[in-house]
Amino acid sequence: MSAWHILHLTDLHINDPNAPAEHLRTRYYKEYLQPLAVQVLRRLSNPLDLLIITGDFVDRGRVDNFDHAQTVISYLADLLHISSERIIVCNGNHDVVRNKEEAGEYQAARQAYKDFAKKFANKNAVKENDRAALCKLGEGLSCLMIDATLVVDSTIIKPANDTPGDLTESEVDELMSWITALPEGEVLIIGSHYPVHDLMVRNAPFEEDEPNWANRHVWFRGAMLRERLLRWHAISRVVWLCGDIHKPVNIVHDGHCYISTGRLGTRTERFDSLIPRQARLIQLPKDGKTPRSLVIEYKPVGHHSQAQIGDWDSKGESFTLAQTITEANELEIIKEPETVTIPVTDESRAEEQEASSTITSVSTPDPTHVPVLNATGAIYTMPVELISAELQQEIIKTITDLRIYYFGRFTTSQSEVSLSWVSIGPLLNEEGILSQVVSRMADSLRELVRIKEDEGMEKTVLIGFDCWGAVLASQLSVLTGTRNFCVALRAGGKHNVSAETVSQEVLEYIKDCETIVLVSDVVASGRSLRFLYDSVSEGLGEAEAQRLRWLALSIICDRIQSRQVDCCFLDKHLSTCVDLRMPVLPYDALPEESVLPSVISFQ
Amino acid sequence: MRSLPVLHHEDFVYTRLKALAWVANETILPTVLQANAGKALSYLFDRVERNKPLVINCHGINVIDDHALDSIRGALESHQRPLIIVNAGALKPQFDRDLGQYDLYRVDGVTVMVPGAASIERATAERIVSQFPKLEQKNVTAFIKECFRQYPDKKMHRMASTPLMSSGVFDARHIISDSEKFIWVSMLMADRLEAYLDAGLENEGQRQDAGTLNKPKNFRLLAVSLRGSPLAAAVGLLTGRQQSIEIVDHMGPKYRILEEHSLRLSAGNEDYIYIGDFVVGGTELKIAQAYARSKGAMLRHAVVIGSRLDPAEYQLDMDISYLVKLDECCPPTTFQFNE
Repeated sequence: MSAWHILHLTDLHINDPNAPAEHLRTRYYKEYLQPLAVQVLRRLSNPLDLLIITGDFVDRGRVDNFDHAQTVISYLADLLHISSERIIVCNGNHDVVRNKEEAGEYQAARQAYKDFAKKFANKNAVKENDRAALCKLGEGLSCLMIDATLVVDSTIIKPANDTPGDLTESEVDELMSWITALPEGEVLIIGSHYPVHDLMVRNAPFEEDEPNWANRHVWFRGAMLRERLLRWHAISRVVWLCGDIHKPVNIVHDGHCYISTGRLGTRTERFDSLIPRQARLIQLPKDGKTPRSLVIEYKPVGHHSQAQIGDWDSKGESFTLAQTITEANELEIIKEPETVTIPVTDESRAEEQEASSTITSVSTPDPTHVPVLNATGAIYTMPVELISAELQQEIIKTITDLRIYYFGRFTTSQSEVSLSWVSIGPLLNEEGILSQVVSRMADSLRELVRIKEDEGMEKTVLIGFDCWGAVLASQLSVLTGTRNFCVALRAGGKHNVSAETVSQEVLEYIKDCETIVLVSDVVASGRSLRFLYDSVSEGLGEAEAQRLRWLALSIICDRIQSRQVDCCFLDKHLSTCVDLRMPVLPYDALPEESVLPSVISFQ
Repeated sequence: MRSLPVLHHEDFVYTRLKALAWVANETILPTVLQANAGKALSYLFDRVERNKPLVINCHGINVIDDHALDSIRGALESHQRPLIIVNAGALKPQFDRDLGQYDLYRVDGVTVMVPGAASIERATAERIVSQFPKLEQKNVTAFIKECFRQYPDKKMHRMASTPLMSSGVFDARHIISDSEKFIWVSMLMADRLEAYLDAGLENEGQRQDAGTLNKPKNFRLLAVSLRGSPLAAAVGLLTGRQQSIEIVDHMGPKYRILEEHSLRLSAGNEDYIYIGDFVVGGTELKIAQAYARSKGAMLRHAVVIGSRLDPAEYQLDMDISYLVKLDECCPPTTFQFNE
């Protein structure tokens, strides 16, 4: 994966969880957030890496609402398959109890927020003080969450209602000592509730009717940290995330990115802002290149901004680059917003794929594609990576030339129907394709398990699904020296003898392994993958199943197909063809079989 | 280094160039020895039981790439381990070029090269050369014996594929799951297929007189079960017939064809050769015959790991090539009609 994907939310402003004016009220937040999750997931071909929330979880110091804020965040996190360890927060001015702040009780004023923050990745901070928490979020990525509301030295700034705080030189020294200790090439995200750059509130005095609006919303004291960071070049990329101003801004200035996202919550008022409630999906390249982002907005369907009915959508389908500012006095667009597209089956776009972006994890969904939801509202994407663009092109061309892509009703389980079928036999009969598929899979497998070509994989087992999966697994076994088993999984193996299913012998061998690789020809609904996982879980226990590292290799897997099956247990799924659309629908989305018979049925 | 396909004898160490090529991922060109396989060969030469001669069977390899033997030549120069190369007639020009001096003669119709002048006596080489086919067969028979499992309750059970009762089952998964066993079994099955085809070529005139086409001009390798599929693919890759592998899911042990739309008339004049694991009652073969007929084709031959009976006893009107008779690998009372 060459980029991290981050969802930025801010300004939930939960005032009264029972009031009809709140989008995040107890009786509406699920309806409000579930479509947002759909919009996010359909744009991801890999799991979301981080959820960052930059404050104002509650409104006007109503700290009793932190519990509900946690409920809301947990709900969204479940839909997005992200754990609390990958959620990181900072406080906003509304999260501080004002009367305690004004009484000089800075710690007490923030205690409820701090207890709340410990429910997330903040609790694992590698460095922490009253001002900030630094979290290490994986190889190459760190996040510094700052309290931009705190006043440490009241002789400089007097704490006042809802204004940015200070930042002393010694505090900046300490923060820089944390940052300069980070490895070279690290990408650093800084979250603060208030924007740290006045460029982010440009034009605000002309929009807002308060002459002092900028001073109340820009953390000018943070500029000291910003300027010192600009001169520390060991960090490959700094991205500042903020909220507060309730409007989206996305700029690059002097190499740093400054991103603000509009509010997620707040009550609807009679004179509500015309800027829609929103979330922002950020694509942050690991090599320090400029991030891209996509704002997803919630638009009411009526004339007024009611907290009742609306739709989430984005402005276009593509991630866009930030505007690059070269002169402080003018906004100049250096590059036109760039789109990254992954062509699918259109031959005329096949060449474009060869020249396309190296960020293979970008997902450019078909605008007409509608994700499918199951009864609980949860949908799943199957993060899958392409093994070789060249081989994929050859596979798709062969399928086209041989006319072995069939459309119809292919009933592969009691829950789903595949609308397409590819005859794998004729595909692999074509000159060299079987050898190429096996060869590329073997190379990818060695890379995933990190062994050299002449080493064996003692702690790994290959499980080949059904006939062609068994062929691939046995060939991979020869090339890599790995043990393999073939299992029949179509219709759960009920049409096969017990020796061909997930037998006790297979389970006994798996017990001593560290990595299990599932090998299949076509992954459609993902149900076979899940069935294998559940079989191991049932046979050896959930803890054993979770201990293993699960990998998958397939010939074809449609990477943008939404699925009803949770395959999040997979650490990686690599496929030789990910851009051939293989639609899958719930069984009851089609007419009865008497009206539309199955071409193939495994039942 | 991961383990390479070698068989051990008390007098020598044995390998096949084709097996090394397979392990070195050279199945795109299965009759060509390329650099990676050459490196694997020199690794064997340098490290595996250096006190014994290394016998290299070149059957099935027609071309050796330039520089593929560089490392073995270097190994020969550095120490005098006896090397015996068999079935290398077609490779003589490359060996002339790359290995320099060697003795060349034939033993029982097998071309033998012994590089390194006087590194081994002729009589010794002849004795060793007569042993390697038995070594392969002995090892493969042992592998097959290991895949017989008696039922834990020691009772007779009705088989899934055929109306016989058995006290145990041969499970080819024990061979397929182990890469070393899988390689050797597949290689011998590929030999059986090629022997059938070569015999057909020799007898063609005679058989055609009898009105029977012995060697199908176009044919597909047919697998009709989960455990037959990897064997068919392996035999196809080893014999350069990966374009002709047809897998039907599945006709045995339990019959349930899951892709009925595959039962279409085949285009062109293509007969079938069945590749499978074990033939006990012949039921799966009979169904495969019916399948071939339904596609306007014939099932000409079968190549399997083991057979319970002599081919004629199945009354299939075709021959079966097998590696072992099953009664060599299991107790004599394993199969019977009634309890």
